[in-house]
Amino acid sequence: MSEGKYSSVLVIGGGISGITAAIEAAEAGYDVYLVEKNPYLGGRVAQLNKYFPKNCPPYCGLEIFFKRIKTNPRFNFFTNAEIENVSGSAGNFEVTVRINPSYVNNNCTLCNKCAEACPAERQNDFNYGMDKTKAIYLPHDLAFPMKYVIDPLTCKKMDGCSECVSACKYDAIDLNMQPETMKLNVGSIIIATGWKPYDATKIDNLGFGKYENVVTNVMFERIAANNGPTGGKIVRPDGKPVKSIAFVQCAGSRDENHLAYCSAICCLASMKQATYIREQNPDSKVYIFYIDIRAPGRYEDVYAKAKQDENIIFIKGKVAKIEEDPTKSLVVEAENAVNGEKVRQKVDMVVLATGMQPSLSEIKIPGLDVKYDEYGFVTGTDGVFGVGVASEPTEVVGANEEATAAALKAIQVLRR
Amino acid sequence: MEYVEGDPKFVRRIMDAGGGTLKKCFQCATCSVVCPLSPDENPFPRKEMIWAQWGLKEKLMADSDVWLCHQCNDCSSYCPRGAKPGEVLGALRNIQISQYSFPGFLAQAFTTPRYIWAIYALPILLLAAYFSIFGFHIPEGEVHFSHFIPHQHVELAGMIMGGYIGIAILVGLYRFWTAMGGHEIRAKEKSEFVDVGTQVKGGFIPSLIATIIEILTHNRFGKCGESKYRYFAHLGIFYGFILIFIGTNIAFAYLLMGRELNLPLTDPAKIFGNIGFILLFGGASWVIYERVVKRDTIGIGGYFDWLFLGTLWLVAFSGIVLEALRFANSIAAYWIYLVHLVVVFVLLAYAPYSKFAHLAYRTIAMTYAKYSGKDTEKTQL
Repeated sequence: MSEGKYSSVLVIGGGISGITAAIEAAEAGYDVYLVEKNPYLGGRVAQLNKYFPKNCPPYCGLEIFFKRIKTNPRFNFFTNAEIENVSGSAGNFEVTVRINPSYVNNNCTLCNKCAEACPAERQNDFNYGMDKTKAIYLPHDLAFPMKYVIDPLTCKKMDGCSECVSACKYDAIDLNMQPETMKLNVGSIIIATGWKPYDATKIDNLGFGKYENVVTNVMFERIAANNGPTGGKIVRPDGKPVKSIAFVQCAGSRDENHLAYCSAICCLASMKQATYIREQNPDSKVYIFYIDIRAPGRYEDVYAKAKQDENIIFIKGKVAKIEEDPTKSLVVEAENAVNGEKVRQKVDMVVLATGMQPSLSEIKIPGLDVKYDEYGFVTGTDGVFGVGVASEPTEVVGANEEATAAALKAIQVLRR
Repeated sequence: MEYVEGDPKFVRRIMDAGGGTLKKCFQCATCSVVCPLSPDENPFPRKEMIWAQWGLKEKLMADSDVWLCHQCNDCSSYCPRGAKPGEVLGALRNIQISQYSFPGFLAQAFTTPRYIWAIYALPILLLAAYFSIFGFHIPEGEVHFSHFIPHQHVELAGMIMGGYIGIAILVGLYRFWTAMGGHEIRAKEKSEFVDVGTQVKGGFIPSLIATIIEILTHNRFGKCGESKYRYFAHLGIFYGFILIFIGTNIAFAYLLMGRELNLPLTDPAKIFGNIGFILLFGGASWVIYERVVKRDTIGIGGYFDWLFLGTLWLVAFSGIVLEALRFANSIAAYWIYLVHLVVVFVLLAYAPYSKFAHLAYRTIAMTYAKYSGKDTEKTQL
């Protein structure tokens, strides 16, 4: 190792890609710093009901990672943290990290007395705003680290409220906690900032935000999840049961007016989600409207299996119009491009298969000189590597393979 | 199994006629759904897009649906690929006009800028020939166009031109009607469908009347979502023409009655004509403006469109300038009058071959659609 070079790796983002890259590098014997904006690790995968390829609940996989993290002294991570600035170049990066206060220390025993006492509420972003939590809350049932946090935007401490502090018997809450900044010196950087669901309100012909029972695919994962807003029972947002459902593929994807690219996972996600409703309600009917079903490689099995179910009906034609009837059911309209006839299908609920937009599409990493493509996917630069959906749309298996490869590349920078 | 034979040269022809984006289409069918005018059975324009990509000339040349399209461009603005189905259908309409119009070689001159000199040269030569016979002199004193070229001469030329236009258009329409299969429907009407199934609801004449009412009210245009302006702009141009036509006929009646034609602004013929010209000018200017401003989302159109639109605008513009100069008593009025005569000739004499023919082709295609039962109202939910 040459003089003046640093021997540690920074990983930005603590989703499945970032965790993978970081733990692989740490287990190879290098110091790793992982910075995560949320108060927990696990990212978008943690918000799924089941995930590919084995359709297991996300914590099957995540808990193995967390065990590896806990037992590895080289793995350092910061939640509630953001990159404030990056300077330097490959081998010599100086990174400023800001750690936002969570206002709760490690004395927290998860007794929930604070939340019972808290008078303020916030939209639960873990459930995509479909329910609420108190301003002091546990991010979700299996959060790692398992600790309550306070949302400073909705907390009423500025108005003199300290109900939670009085309710806490363990001295775990400190409303005067201040943000901290720290400097890290690292040799290479892995960007694993992941994605956000495309804003479906921008697709003005599909009724999201206008019709209550039109939801997005990420919301549907929460609706089907046991720790979701409905306790895993698939019902419409207005509470009525779901006997028929339409999946609208390419909702804002492969579309110059929205996301011009294919997000690679939405067809598979819809076919997976079709099984959620089919398993819960054997009388249900599922309509999947598509341009092309994309189930690459081994995932062809998923398509083959879905086609075997005669209650999963595939219609080749993009839904371009959705209307609501007086019962708040929906009528989706498409042209069946196989027989050239218009289809108007009435369903109880519509799921828009929206795509993945890179988290860095608008906000970039401050100070870091790295190249992005036209959509905001990281294309990398010397000593900086994009992984997972930060670099391209992919599913978990692909993301993890890329993350493992990036760990090696990041190590190579440290050793050259 | 039905075998289809594609014609790559025809694909190129559509692309050259203003449908240059057609290969971007990936058949998602968004267009057929967002189109406010597309029927439930055999909706357009998705099917036309694949036919165009495959070069299925026969199907496209017999397709009346391209005329049900009023180029609202909802399809083009929602198209995820920028394939601009609105432009492709416009190109197909242009090709149908040049395919069926009579005589065919004249139609070809309108498909490419190469012959624009010839198009304008003809009326100029005709005017030169006229003046070589009757002599050319700019009259002195108060501007009287009849002292320059007698109105009787203009009217006579107009009538000859009108007769020619009528025959040429009718031949074209007959060819188009045959290609669409209009005769077969008529035969069916006489045999198996005598009891009036949905196929022949109403017959030819009622279908034609319903079509004319639809055109007069522009109610199909009114359903456009994306380009609401087109409804108003087209309405302006359309009624502009009708008012000018009425004004011209009143003036013609005056001539027959032997009246001198330097009419004051308050004369009914002038009132109709002037309001008509203002509507025409406003409508044409508006269309040009929107086309240019929205060229990226909905497309700028092809040569065929611009030749018509440009000439139309020039007719309106020269007409207004002409009248202003006349009332200003400027000698320049005579020169502008010559320009006006040339552009009017280009607009009207070539109507069977230019985009102007859309009026006739659209009428007959919409009639066909009603006659054959294809043009069903959208079923309501």
